[in-house]
Amino acid sequence: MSFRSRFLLSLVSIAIGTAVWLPLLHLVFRPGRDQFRSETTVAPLARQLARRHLDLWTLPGDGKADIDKMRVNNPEWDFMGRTFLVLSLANMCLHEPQQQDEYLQVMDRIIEDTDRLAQAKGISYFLLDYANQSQFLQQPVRSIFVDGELAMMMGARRLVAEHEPFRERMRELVHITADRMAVGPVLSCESYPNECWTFCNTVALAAIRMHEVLDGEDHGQLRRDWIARAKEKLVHQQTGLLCSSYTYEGQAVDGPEGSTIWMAAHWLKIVDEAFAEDQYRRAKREIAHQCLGFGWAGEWPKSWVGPMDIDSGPVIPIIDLSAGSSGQAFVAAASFGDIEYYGALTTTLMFAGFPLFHDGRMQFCASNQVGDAVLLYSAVAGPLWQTIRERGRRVEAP
Amino acid sequence: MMGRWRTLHRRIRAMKWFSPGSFVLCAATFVVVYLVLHLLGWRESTSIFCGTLPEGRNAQVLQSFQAVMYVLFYMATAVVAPILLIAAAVFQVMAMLWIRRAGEFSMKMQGPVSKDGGSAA
Repeated sequence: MSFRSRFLLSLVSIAIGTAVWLPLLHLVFRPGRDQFRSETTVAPLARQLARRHLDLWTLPGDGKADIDKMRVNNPEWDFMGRTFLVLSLANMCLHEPQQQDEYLQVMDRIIEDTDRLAQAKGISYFLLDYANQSQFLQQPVRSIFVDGELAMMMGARRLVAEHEPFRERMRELVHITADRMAVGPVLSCESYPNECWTFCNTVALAAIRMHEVLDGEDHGQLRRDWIARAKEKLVHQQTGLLCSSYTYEGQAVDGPEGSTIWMAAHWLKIVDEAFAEDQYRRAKREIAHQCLGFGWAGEWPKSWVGPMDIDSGPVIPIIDLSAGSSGQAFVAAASFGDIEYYGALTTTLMFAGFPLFHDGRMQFCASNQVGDAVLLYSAVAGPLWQTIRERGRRVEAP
Repeated sequence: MMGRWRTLHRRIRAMKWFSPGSFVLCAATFVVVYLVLHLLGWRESTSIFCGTLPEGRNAQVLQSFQAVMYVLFYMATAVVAPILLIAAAVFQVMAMLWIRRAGEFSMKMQGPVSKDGGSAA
């Protein structure tokens, strides 16, 4: 057979091989049913992922190096890694009450350590350097990023089992936050100087909601007003999605971003479920991608493209893949019961996240502690939000 | 043992590009290199993709190299190698059909053979 014939035959063979293999590839990486996330229990892979995180807080010095490496890039990740781990453990406590003592111990250690650091070293300990480069407009200086997530961690712990010291501290944080939000021009507080982040403000609203169901206080007016103001001032016109950051006066700084909108929809689910659902559907339409059984998410919709930053991570062009957005899409897909998209995301994760199994523990090599904590949260999320909804109905019943 | 290696080496050298054998060889190379890199623990180096870098310039360059090589051979093993194996099988089948049809075609061109051995046409 001549070289030309063999070359042509090779091209045809490779084309057929590609057409056969690519549609099958996802089957190799798709975890079995209930292997990564289960609605009723802690799935086996989630348990292995959790084990590694528990070690970080129970074995002396074990996770310090991992967290320190992460802090070099972004101290926020240290703080958010703590929040997502506490939320994951709260859900795991509700999934398997027999393990509650072990999980609660770790949750308490994380919350106490975080609160101690925030008070002793100031808010800048968990913020990027530019927090110190200009003045916060609202005085005295506080960051809703720190206050909101701390209150949420305490709320999650208290929803599993009451904790008196956290009850007082949470009440203090929620009151400060709610009072400061109420006087803001768009009912929002700054995370950084003259920067209000939707992520942080929606976390704060969710924490306030937790406080309502735990302590029977009513902040319904603030919640309703915030949603109304957001629909009026903080929504991107072309997509209907919430902008990710805005000035204290309510001027949009960044448009909608995947690294914000997925989680904002998740937090808002306990604040205004219909609005949250609408945001999720819009985000899915604008920035979610699925192909050949794999799923991922981009950072920006077509109508607004922002700069790559520490939150977006590197965005792979052509296929429009953002690791930051894709990671958070897990939580939103799980939260809104989008089984198909969650399955596609998990397939991509097992393919390109480079999972490493060792001694009953799992980590994703292409991720870091905060990334793995977000993935763990997506794998176990559900019972905590369900508890808030149920207790909320009881509190609000006449 | 050495004789077997020598035979294998000779076969590989004699192998034509764009043939089922070359596809299989290519796929096998990807898999073997990937397995070696995996056993060397280079998978952990992929943590650079989320910005987790070791301290020191030299360590960063080394880890970046390890991560890129690992990802290349991982993708080659997971995506390219199976395509090459399927292509090798398809190539083999098509080549056999090609040769058979070429044989039939040349038989037809020669036409039915007469009893005395000459062409009836």
